[in-house]
Amino acid sequence: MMTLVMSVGVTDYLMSDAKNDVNGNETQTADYKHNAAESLIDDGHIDEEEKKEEEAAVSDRHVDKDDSSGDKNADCVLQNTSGAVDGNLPPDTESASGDAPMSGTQQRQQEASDPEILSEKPVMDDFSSHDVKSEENSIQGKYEWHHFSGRNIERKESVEFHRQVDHLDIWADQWSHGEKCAIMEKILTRSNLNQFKFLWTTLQPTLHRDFMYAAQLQFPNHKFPPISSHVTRETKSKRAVRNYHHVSSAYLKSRKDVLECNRSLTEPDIGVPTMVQPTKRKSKRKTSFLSQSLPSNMHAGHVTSRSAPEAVRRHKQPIRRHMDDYACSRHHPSAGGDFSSMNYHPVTEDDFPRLVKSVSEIQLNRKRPTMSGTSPKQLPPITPVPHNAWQLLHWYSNCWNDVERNEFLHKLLKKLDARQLYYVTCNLSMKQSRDYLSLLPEHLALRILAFLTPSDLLICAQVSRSWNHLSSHNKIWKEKCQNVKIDIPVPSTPKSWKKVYRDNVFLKSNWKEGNCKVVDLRGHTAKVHCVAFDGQYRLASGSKDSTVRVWDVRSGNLIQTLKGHTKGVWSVKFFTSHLLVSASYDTTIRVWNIRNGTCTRTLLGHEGCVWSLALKKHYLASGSQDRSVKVWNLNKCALMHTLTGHAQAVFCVDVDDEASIVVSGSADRSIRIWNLHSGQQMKVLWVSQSTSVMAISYNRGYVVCSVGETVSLWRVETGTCIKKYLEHEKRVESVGLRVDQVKNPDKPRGLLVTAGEEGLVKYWNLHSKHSHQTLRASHGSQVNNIYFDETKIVSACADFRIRIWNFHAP
Amino acid sequence: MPNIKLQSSDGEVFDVDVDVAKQSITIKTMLEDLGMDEDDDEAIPLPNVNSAILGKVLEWCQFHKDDPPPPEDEENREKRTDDLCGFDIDFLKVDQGTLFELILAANYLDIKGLLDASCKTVANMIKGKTPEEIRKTFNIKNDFTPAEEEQVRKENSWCEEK
Repeated sequence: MMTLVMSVGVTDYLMSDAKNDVNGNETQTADYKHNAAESLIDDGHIDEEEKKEEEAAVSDRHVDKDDSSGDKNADCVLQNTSGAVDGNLPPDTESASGDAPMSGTQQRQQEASDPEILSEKPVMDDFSSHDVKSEENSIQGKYEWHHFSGRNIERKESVEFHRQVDHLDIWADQWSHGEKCAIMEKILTRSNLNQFKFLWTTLQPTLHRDFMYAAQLQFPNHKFPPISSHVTRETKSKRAVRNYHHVSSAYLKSRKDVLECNRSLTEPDIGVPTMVQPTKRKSKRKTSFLSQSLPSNMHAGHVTSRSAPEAVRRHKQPIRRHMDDYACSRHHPSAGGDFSSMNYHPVTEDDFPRLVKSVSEIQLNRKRPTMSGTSPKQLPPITPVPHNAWQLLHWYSNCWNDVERNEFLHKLLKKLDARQLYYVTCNLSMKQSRDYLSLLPEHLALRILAFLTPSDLLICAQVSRSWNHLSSHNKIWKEKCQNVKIDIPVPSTPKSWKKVYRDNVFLKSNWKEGNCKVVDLRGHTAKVHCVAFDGQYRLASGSKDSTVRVWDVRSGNLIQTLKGHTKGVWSVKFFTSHLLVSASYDTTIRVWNIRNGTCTRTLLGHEGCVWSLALKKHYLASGSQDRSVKVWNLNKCALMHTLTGHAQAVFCVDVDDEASIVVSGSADRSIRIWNLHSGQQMKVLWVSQSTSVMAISYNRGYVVCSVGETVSLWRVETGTCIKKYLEHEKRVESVGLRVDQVKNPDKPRGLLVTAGEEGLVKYWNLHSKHSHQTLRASHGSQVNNIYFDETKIVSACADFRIRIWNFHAP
Repeated sequence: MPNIKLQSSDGEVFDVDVDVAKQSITIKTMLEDLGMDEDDDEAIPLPNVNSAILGKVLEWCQFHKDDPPPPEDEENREKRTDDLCGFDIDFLKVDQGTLFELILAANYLDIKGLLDASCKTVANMIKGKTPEEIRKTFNIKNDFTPAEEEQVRKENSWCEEK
């Protein structure tokens, strides 16, 4: 009773203090508390003194005590613990129990404005009610409030916070190892990045092997393998020591691993008795209430350990470089028997139906569903979170800000021993970094990877085996291939889309750099006039030696020699992969069957030699010395139209991809455009002043023609010349045009290939002034004709050779 | 506006607006298949989502409840990762464990917007890093042998010009 009196005396003293610096709000709160307490207690027997004391409990934290070992009683509020068991709880506590997503601030505001809501704070009111009882019944009080380390607390919230945190002190000692683990896990799921940062910084030393050894000493039944993290792995590789830790490191990828690592979760606390008490603190830095001196009767529980012989203690003492701060401090005397009777139950089944429901749920369904699909049976059972911890969890997730949470965690960590710290660290290390791709189901991992660029995917492939497997997945690369223009021939079901994509990239850079494989085909006995390609692997060439030869470009072998023309062959085109059309100086056009090498049809009609052929779908256009262009239907081998209008020989013809127009270039210095189906002339372009049009190529509304050594690009729609390409020094014999992109109709993008008398083949970007690359086909002899596609350029040379530049090297 | 109750794996019950919950195709189908009574007090159990994650998911749904439905032809669109809205960026500033579970929850509940946003966040974490930095970020063990690593490095060193 003497302490009680003293406490009241100090309270009086403090009251004057409090009245000065406690703001009105706080006093108000105290009043509310008082009211609430009054309403709670049946007999309502409350006098002024108690009210003062209540206020003092609030305000004593404002007083900076320099002598912490001084009057301890002043720091304490008397508490009747036996009374706590009856649990005078108000009926409507449900909203405080955790589900309500009401933020802490909101809640506090509400409380401040509405005294009735205070009844939602059963814990607070419980204390005050017990205070009353303790004095009334004169039962010897037990101290519950501890000294605070002299912070300047000005806000009501923080006062409340400290009162909330103080519960931890009592409750934490009742929790078993498993329960603490379960609580920590719950806390982690309710934490945000700030708390993770805090915990990680605080706990990282536990990764150190010193901690492992020390912890091992204390808990011989528990394994503390070092946790494999990036840092430890790096150290290991740098030292080039394979067994740096002498034990294999735990590489924690999932929750299962963590539980594996902490198998003894539910085992009884075997290790505790061997725990070595910390010697006196070297520094006063840690001044939290835990390390501060407490009321003298609190020390009773551990007097024996304190008085243990010095030598023994030193002997038993593990390396405590990291243990000092965390693990040992847990074994504070408050764990002694004094508090065992202080079972404080703020939550009971009646008052927290929802909470209790959730608790019992867990107990019933112990096998916690893990979404990764691991079998829960192999894991140690999960201890349910103790009832009173739910209150803390509720505060933690709903009422506290980041600073308060960190402060709470700091205090909580001190309550944990090495095993729990290790468990938390394991969980942290798992939660800090997840190997998303390996752990997620494949379709989700692929979904993530689909957001990456190809170059990022290549980086990912180098991370680890599973990443390599996933980031090379066909599905992803197929998608990437669909987003770009694939120029290389693709088999119907490619084994690896990644390879397709890669080869396509290589192809583009080869075109850019001019890297190519050169193959010469020899066999003709005279100038080669023309070449054609069937789109797969067969190349046909017509020569002045009046033969048509068919080659296999893959091997360079001659497949067929087609003989029948009586004079030189000037143009050759593939109709199907087995049928070939050739035009000759002997005025005939022949259709050949490549399989058996026979001439199946001969188209007669031209009165002069046939210089040029163009073939799209089954429409064939032929330009002749007789100044006419004839359009044939190859299916029927019938003549459709004879297009007349050119004043001189027609040297070159072309047909558009849709087979709707015919373009012809003539010695009369004009290009004429005809409707293929009606045979009507649509347009005349006078492209030259002086000499004849030697070669033309039409694509997507543009026509390229060579006149002498000049190559010019014309837009058919307007009939205007867009660009001239002036690099050839001698006559240009053949041109090829491919328009890829038309954003600005006057500046189309695409590829132009030209070849001429000086034996050079040049390719150009349509929009640039200078040729991109120049390839030498032969020395001194002219190039008569070129064929090109996405992967190669083929030239027919006057020195009897056919030269292939292949940019696609599979 | 009618409310429904959702129960997380650890037993917590969330009372949410139907329209908010219906952003989850899983819940939507469930409601349509089972038929919903106005005064049905039974909570829908979601055994694969714990309360912390379900809370976050519902927070997301609450914010995005007025979003227009995502376009269907998204498969062919070029994938971008820089089009996350400000809320999503802040919302997904969480530890990797939470983000991981959000992805799983979004997948289970079939919330395409959240799934995309969280996947994009992970993709952004991968982007522009070296393999070693990626290992560091995600705490991945390099399980290649030196010979393998060299080979993989060679195989994947073709770089695309931009």
